[in-house]
Amino acid sequence: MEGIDVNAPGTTQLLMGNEAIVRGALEGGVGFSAQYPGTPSSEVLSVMASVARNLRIHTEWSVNELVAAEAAAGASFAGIPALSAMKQNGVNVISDFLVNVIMTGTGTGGLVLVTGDDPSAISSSNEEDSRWICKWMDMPLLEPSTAQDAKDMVKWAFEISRLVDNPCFVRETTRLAHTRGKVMLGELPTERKTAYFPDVWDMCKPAKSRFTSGPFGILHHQAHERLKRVVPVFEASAFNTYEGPEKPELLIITSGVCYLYCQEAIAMLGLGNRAGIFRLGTTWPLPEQAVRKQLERTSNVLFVEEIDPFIEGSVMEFAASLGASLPPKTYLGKRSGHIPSWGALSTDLVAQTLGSILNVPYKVAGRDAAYSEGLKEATKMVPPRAINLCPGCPHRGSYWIFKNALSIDGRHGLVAGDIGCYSLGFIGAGFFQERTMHCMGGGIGVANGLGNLKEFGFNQPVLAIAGDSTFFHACIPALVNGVYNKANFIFAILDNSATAMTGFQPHPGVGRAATGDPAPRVDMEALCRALGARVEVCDPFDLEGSTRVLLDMMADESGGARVLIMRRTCELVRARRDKGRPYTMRVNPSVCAGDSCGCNRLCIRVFGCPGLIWDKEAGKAKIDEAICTGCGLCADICPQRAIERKAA
Amino acid sequence: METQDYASFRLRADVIDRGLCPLCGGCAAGCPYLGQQRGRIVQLDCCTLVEGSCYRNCPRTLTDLDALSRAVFGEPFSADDIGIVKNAYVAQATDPETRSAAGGGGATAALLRAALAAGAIDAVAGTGVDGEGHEGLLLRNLAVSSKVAGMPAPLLLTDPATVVSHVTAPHRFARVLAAFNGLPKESTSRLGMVCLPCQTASLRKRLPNPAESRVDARNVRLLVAESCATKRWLEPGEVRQSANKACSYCWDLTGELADISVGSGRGQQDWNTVLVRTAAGQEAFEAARKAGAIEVKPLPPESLAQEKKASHDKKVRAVRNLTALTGSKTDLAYLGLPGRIVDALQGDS
Repeated sequence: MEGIDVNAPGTTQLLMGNEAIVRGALEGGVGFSAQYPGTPSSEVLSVMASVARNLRIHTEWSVNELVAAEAAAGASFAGIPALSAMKQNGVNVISDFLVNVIMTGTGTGGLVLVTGDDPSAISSSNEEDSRWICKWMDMPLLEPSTAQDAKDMVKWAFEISRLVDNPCFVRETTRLAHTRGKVMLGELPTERKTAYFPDVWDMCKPAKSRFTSGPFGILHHQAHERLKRVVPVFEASAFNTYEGPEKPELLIITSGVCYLYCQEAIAMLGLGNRAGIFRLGTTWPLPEQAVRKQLERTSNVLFVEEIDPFIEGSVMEFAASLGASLPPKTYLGKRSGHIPSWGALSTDLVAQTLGSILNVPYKVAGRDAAYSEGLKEATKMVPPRAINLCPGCPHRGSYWIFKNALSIDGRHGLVAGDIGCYSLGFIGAGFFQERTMHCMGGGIGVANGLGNLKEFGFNQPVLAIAGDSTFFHACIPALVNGVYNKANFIFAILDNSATAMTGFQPHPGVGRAATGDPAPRVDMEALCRALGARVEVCDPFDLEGSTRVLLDMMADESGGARVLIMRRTCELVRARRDKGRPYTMRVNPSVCAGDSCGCNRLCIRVFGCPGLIWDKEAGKAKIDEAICTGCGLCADICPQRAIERKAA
Repeated sequence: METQDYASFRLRADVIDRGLCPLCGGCAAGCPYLGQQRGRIVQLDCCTLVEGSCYRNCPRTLTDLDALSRAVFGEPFSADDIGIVKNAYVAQATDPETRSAAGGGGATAALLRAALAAGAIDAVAGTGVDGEGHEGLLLRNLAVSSKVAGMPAPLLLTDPATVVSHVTAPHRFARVLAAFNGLPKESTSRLGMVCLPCQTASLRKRLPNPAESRVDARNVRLLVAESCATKRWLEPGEVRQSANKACSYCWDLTGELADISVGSGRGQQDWNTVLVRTAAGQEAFEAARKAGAIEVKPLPPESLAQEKKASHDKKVRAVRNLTALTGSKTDLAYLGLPGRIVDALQGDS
C-alpha cells in the first residue's frame, strides 16, 4: 500500500480520521507541525513524523500544547503553513496565547489548530466542548463528519486561516479520529516555501511590529472585522448540505459525526420523506443566510450535536434576531431535553429521539431474541476485568508504596493526583490513593496550597504525583513555586520513561525526537536538584526500600518541596525492548494456604494485578500465565511467600 | 457485614484506640494488613476477616486466664502472686562473656544455648538487625522503620554459637513474634523463644487455635519470659517502658504463662531470678545445670517475698488502672482474671 505521502491525485486510501487530517495538511502545504500527545488526536503528529523526513516537514513533540501552538504560530509568522493538534484539554492550555494571537494575526503561513474532543470522556479526565473558544477568539470553525471531510477541510483550513489572518479551528471527535474511511486524495504541492519573519525593525521607520498584541482596543475590533471575511465563503461552502424533502415535517440541524447518526437513523426508521438533514460543516461563524433558507422549510427543528448546544444556541440567537420576519418554530434539542448535553451520541439514541418526535416506534435493528441470547453467551466467555493498570506496571508498585507509607505515617496524608496512566489511582487500580485529580500539573499545584497551611494547623503529609512527561509538561513552574514559597510537600515523579497513556511518544527525558532521531536528554534529577530541592531516586519495585525512603522524606522536618523520582520503565516499553519475561512466576500450591492463610486474599483482593487470579477449585491464588508479564512484584507482597519468581 | 465487625477494626477499637496496645508485635507479625512503626501498630489496608488471628491472639483482647492456665499447665490460674512455680532459684551463666553481653546474669541466653546444643530444641526464634545477612526472614512491607539502617529483623537461630549475641541484644524482643509467625509451617517442630510477658501471653493464646498455615504454637518447647523490670527496647533508641502507657495496664510482671521466667537478681548483681513453672522448663534448667552452662543457688526467702510483692503490686495497679479506664469495677477490659482474684486485688487497691 502506498504511504500517506504519495502524490497520486484521484486515488483512494482507507484512512483513519487522524491520518486524513495529516493528508489534508500535506495537501495544504504544511511545513511545521508541533503537538503534545492527547487522545484522541495523538496520531496526527505520529503520522506526520513518519513522513516528515521525506517531505522535509518539521515535526516535534513539544513539552505541552501551549509551546506547540506557539511554535506553530511562530512558523506561520515566518510564512510556513503550520498545524498543531491537541485534545480538548489542550485547547484550554493554549487559550492565553490564543487570546493574544488573534489580536496580532497569524501571518502569511496559515495556522490550523485541530482539536480532538472526547465526548463521553472515553480517554479523558473530563468532557468538554471546545467549540466555544471559536466564538471567544474570533476563529473560524470547521467540523468534519467523515475522513474525507477531515482531509478536505484541513487542506482548506490553511486558506481560511490566511484569509482571516487568524488560526482556523478544526474540531474532530473520538469517533472520527479513530474510524477509518475511504479518502480520495488530492494533489501535494510541489512549491517549497522559504521562511522569513517579515516584520523586523526598520531603523528608518521605527514602528511597532504587527506581531505585538497592543493596543488591544483597535486590535480586538480588527479581529472581529477579519472574521467577517470568511462569512461569504462559508455561506457558499459545499460543506453545508441539505438532504431530504423540500418541506420536511422535521428539520435536523447537525454537524460532525452526528450527521452520520442522523442519516442512519432516518434510514432505519424510514423517515426519508418526513425528515430532512441540514449538515453544517462550517459551524462558526454561522452561515446565517444558509441557515435561514433551511429554517424556512419547516416549523419544527431538531438540533443534534455532541456535548453543548453550540449550534442550537447560535441558530436560536440568529432566529430571534429575525423577529417576526421568521415564522415561529418549535425548536427541539438540548434545551427541550430531547438530546443530552453530555456523553457521546449514537445512531440508536438519535433514532429513539426521532421516533418519539415523529411517532414512529423504534426497535434496535437486528437485536432480536437470538442476538440477545448470543450476546449473553459471549459475555460468559469474556473474563470480567475491571479497569486496571497493566500487569507489570510500575505504578502499581508506586501506589502500593504510597498507600503503605501514608498509612504507616498515620497523619492522614494524601496523594494529589495528576493526568496519566497513574490517574487510575483514583479507583481501585491505584488503591484509591489519588484524593485530588484534575489537570496536567494540577496535583503539584494543589500541593502548593495544601503544603502552606501549617499556620492553620494542617499537618497532613502531601504527596503530589505526576508522570515524567507530565513533569515536563506542566509541573516545573509549580515545583519552582514550591521551593520558592517553602510549600511542604513531596513531589513524586512516576518516571516510566514514556508518555505511556497516549502511545509511548518520546519526551525531553528519553533522548529521542518525534522522528526517531537522537535528541538531547533533559536530566530531571539535575533539574530538580538545581532548583534546590532534595531529590531521591527509588525503584517502585523495591517495596520495602522505597517505603523507607518515602517515610524518611515525610519525617524530614526541614520540610519544603522534596522530589522523589520513582523510576522504572513502563512494562510495555520493556517488553517491546527486551522481549520475554524477566521472571517465570508461579504460586506454589503447597505454600499458598488459600483462605486459611489469614491474608484475606491480599494478592487478589487488594493488590489486584490482573496477572493474579483465584483458582476456585483449589481455593488458592494462581498466576494467569496468559497475562502475567513476569515482573516479579507480587512475590514481595505475599506474607506466606507462596508466590515464587524464577529468573526466566 | 459492617466494617466495625472486621477483626482488625475491632482490634483498633478495643485495643489500639483505647491505649491498651503493649506493642508485643503479635498482630502485625505475619499480617500484611498491620505494621509496626516507631511504637505504633498501624493498619495498612482493610482486611475483611471477622475471625482474625490479630484479634484472637492479642494479649489485650479478652483473655481468660483460667482457660489459658489450663492450656499451659493443666490447672486453673493460680492465686499466688507469681503464678504457678515449681522451683525458684537464682542463676547465672557460667560463661563470663555471656553475662557481660547480657548485662546481668545471662541466664536466659545460657538456658537457650544449652537447650539448643543438647538438641532439646532445634532452633531459637530471635531478632537481629537488618544487614546482618538475615534478610530471608525479613517480613516485607511490615514494620518498616523510619530508620533506614539498623532495623530489627526476625531471624531463626540454629547455631548455638549465635544464640548469645541475639538473645542478649537490646532489641531482642522487637520482632520475636514476627520471627515466629514468619516461619514456614514445617520448618521446625521444637522451638525455643525468649519473650516479654505480653508476648508470652500472645503466644499462649494461640494454643487452642493452631494456625493451619503457620508453625503451631505447641512447637514452642521452651518459652522463657524475661521480666520487664530491666531495661527494654522496642526499637533501637526507643525505651519501651517509658514510651508506652499501655504497660500501666499490664498484670504480669514475671511472665506467668512461660516455662521459665527470668528476672533481675533482686540485688544480686550478675545473677538472675529464675522461676521454673513447667516440667519442660525444669528439664531444660536441669540440663543446663548438668552441662555446666549455669551456676545455681537457692532463691533467698526475702528475694522471693520481694518478687511476690512486686508482682502483686503490678496486678493491683493493673486492676486499678483498668477500672479507671472502663469506669466499671466489673469491666476490666481485656483482663479475664477469675472473680475471686479480682475481688482480692480490688480490695488491696
